[in-house]
Amino acid sequence: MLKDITFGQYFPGQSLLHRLDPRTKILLSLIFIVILFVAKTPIAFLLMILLTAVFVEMSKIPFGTIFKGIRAVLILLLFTAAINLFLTKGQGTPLLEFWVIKIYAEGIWRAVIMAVRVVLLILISGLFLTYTTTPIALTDGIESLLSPLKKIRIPVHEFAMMITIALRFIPTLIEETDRVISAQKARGADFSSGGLIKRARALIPILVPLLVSSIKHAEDLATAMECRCYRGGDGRTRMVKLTYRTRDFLMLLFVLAIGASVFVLNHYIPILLPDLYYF
Amino acid sequence: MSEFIRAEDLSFAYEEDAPKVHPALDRISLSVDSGEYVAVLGHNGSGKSTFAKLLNVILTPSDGRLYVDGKEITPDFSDEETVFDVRRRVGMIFQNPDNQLVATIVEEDVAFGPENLGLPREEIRRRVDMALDAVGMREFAHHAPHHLSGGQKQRIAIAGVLAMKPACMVFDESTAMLDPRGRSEVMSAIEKMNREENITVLHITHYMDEAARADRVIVINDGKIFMDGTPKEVFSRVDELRSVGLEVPQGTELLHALRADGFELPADLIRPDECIDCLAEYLEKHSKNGGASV
Amino acid sequence: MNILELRDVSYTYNRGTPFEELALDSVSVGFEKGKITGIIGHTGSGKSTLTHLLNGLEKPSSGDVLLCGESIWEEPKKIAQIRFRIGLVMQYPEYQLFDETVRADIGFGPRNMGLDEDEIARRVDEAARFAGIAPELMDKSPFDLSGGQKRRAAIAGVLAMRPEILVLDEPAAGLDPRGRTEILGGLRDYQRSRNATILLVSHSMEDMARYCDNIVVMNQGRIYVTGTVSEVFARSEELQSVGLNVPEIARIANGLIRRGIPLSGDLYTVEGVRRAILSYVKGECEC
Repeated sequence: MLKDITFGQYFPGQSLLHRLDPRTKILLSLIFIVILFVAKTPIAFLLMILLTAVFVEMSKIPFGTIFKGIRAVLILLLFTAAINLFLTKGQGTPLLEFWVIKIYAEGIWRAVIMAVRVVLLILISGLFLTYTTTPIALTDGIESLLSPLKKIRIPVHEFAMMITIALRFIPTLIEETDRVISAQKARGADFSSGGLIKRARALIPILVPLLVSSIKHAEDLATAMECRCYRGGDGRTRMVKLTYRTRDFLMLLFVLAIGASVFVLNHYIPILLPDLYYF
Repeated sequence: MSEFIRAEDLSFAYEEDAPKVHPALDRISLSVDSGEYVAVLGHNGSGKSTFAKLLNVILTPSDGRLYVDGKEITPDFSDEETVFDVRRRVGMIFQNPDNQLVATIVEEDVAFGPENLGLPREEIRRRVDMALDAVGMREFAHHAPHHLSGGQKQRIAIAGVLAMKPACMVFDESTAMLDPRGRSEVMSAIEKMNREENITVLHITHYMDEAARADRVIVINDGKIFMDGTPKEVFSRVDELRSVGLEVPQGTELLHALRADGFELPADLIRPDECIDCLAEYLEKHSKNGGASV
Repeated sequence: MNILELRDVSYTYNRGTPFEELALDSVSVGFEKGKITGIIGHTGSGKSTLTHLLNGLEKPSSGDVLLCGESIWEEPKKIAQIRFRIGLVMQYPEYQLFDETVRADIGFGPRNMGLDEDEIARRVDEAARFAGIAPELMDKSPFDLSGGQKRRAAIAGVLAMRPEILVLDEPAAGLDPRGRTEILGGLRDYQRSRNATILLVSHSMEDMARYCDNIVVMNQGRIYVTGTVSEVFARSEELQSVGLNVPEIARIANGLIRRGIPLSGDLYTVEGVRRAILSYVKGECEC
């Protein structure tokens, strides 16, 4: 059950994506997201799908594993798609009409495009930021990118450390949730019947133990960190220093070029839905 | 050998307990030399973990004196530099392996301590490799800790402390949550730290067979030192140990029972092979005598 | 008579993913009514999976689990009823505590059974007695208890359902010798007074020897050896070949036998070996 969630887990490997500097990967994800929301032509979307497929292939991570990450947000995805499908008012005649629901061509387009955007967004950010990047590298990257903010006294190091630890404990908490659910089920807890309030109440026996054990983890870990001489970012050195290499520049250049072409495509190819801009 | 830890009339009381119950540690005095391998025994709540926490300045004494590596740890010990110094000299390995690993990759976790010491990058690299070799976990350097067994996680935690090159390691029930295989892995690592890295070891446990392997056993009960001596000296006092809820190795227990039956057997054997040798010899002699008399 | 039985049970984790793992491989084994059966094996030998299958937390990938001869999955909707009859105490069960008082927490199971308040109160008190929880602790918050007391409260939470069969995964892990003896002794009292059946998973061979009637040894998802305690511990070489130990005292007894001292009897507890040595010496003298 919960063990199936793979989102937020690093898959060790030596692919090009694994070896990119984490800062590059953060920037790439951001650029990619911008492109996704700027793109308006079908060709641009095809290009983005193709590009994602190339990245997935490059990462050497099994397809099934990556798609599991999507399964977790499938319901959200279907919900947004349905809203777009049913609530979009087109200009022509509806393609389908029953009861109060009218489905227009624009609605279908919008639902499809929205779904593609969300799926690609999850795939790319998952691929760049979690599957091929260790959480420590990721937070190092964030810390390094945000380090100019230290000058205005924003606690960048502490922020980065918080994220590292949160990520470190995801698998532990998933395991624990599984265990608490099993233990309460063994005591006859019923999570699947009754109305909304009854079901919400049924969660208490799961949430309280999880909260208590999270606090315990936090306390113990804080003690363990202090024992290992941790006292914040000052005076701390790092074993691995981040360095940009040629491959980082090339990759950034490549994705930027794609971004530029998507932008150009928007101007030279007839746009299907002008108001897609506003989403 | 020089003295590494010294406690004089050391007491500690948790604040919330202060008015009603006796303190967690009640005026204990002891000293531990550099390079010693000491097991600390006691049932849950005896105060043995409190003692460990004082050594690492997680807690500070309520009363009495405590010296670690020549530095006195006072009740208001809060000067950041000195705390830092003591913690660098005394490493601590806890009970739950999951709650002491910070990083999601083994070698990055081992590097955490040296990084906090502000060492140069090449030195950190060298120490991480050395420490992983010492606990036999080099091949797991790039693994994620949550896929490892409990024993392996504890070895990573030991490597993380070793990489800081401490003079002393305190194991606070570090084997309690492990299966037999994990326990024996960690026990070998602990003994290696003491013999090969020449580190002073304090191993807090309630497994008698583990304590029997140390050079010296200290039994703490109700915040006081109940016994202090070699494993042979301590475990030969079977009835006293039982009176504070502890057990002795089964071989020692058998010899103790047979002595009560009138057999002339020594009380201070603790290893199974010693017990077998002694009993076999005794019984052979006994049966020959018996045979001769017929 | 076997009250609980596994018939040709296999179980696979993460089916159809790259992490697929066969945890149990056509296991058939029965558990005698009114006995304490120990289950031993390495971490990863399939012991924990077995406990989850016995209690209906997981469904076998193939094969069947029979309670009194009937499949527990006969009517999947009634699996909750089965769980009341087969109580499961998981490893480190103190994590399951959640309610405001110890009393309320122990009553969680009986309340889910739909019992009336009088009956719940009776069962809670009884369970607390078996688990060794002092009456003055009952109205405290479970989070104010010590580690050992929390463990007892969690075990009482399962005992309060009065299960006919009790499955426990390392109930004494991490406790000191006194805590171990008290908890395991309390479980034995429960078993005797209710003629219940207990399945006890543990790494401690000494505890197995002291408390169990029968032993099932698991290795790599299969049953390796089964038998009474003395039968199983007599086969110490086979156990050692799969990396398991026998109690230290059994090793000493075996060592003496190898040195030509013919001991016989229950050679897996200190008392048993002592008696064997005494009767050996007496026998020698009598001839």
